[in-house]
Amino acid sequence: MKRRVLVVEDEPIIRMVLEEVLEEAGWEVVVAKDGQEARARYTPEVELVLLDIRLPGVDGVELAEEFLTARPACRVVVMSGHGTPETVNRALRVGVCGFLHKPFSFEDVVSLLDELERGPVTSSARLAASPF
Amino acid sequence: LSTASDAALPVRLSLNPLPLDTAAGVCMVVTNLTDERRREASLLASLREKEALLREIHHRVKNNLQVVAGLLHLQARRTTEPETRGVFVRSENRVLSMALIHESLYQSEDLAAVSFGTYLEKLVEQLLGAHRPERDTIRIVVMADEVLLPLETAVPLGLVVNELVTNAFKHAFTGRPGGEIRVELIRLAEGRMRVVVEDDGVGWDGGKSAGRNTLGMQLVRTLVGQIDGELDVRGGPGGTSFRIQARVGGVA
Repeated sequence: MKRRVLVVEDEPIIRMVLEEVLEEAGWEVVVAKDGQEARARYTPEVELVLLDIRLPGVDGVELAEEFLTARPACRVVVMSGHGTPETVNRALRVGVCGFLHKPFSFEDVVSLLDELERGPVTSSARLAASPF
Repeated sequence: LSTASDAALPVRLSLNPLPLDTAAGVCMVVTNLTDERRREASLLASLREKEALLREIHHRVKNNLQVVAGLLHLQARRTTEPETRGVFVRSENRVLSMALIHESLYQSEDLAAVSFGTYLEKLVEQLLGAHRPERDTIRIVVMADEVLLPLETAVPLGLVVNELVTNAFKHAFTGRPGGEIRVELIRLAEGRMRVVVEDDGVGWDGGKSAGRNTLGMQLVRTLVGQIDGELDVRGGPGGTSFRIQARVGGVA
């Protein structure tokens, strides 16, 4: 059975590329363009959320906290700029397990998520160790 | 001093001795600074607003460049011919190297200068992500002094490093199991700097072999010229070294 990832990104082209790249890598991809859609599509089957930190009308970190409070076993990777320390710390405090820094190479997305799949500690270390 | 409604009144007091014959005297001038303070506050607010706007512009430019990279990626994925696909991927990486400058400016305190050493570390990380097959066998080391560069120098120099590192990934270790690429940024005397990209690979033959005198090298020469820099290329059995010297402060 395919693993399900929820991609929350307001920019349509980025959403489209991520959907294609992740589908090819074997994920079942569900997409959402804003917080409202993301909440509606955050079903129990979603194992991983790839979440843009800057979304219209909602704070990405608050949305991550909402998701993780509802289901702590789900993993959330935040897509952001290289981030201020405050934002990064806030995201880590609510339990975000990784950062995908914009601008990012689309070639890298799948390998980052695969790394996360192989073990949360190692993956988190690699993903979260260089938040800037 | 205070106003009739008991609000504190900002004032400047000037006291000057008056040379009088009969007694000591002082001339006191009281200047009401209310308008001056109001103008200062207004200027400060305007400055902060412009800073926020500029920050937002850098953020949007970065996002737009990430979208352009996405479009190139989509096109690359629909291209079956490997060489053409490579052209799209290289273009995508060039755009991302520019996007990273705008992200760095967005994060910088004064919005006018990029910490180029930090930028190089992020750029190399990004390039490693884009070269998945090669990154398991090629080691890449960044040694950078802290050098602040203005946008007009950082963008072309970022592109230059992008080209040289990509070139090394693709060609420096042909027929070898792997190797090392070193990227150095050295602050020199008299407001100058040196950027070095070198590898311990097969050694560049001055572009005689296929693939190493392509658009990438043309771009390197053009962009080094754009920042009034000097390019020195040394190739031999021990590898290839590209050295660029330029002014830190941008084009004169």
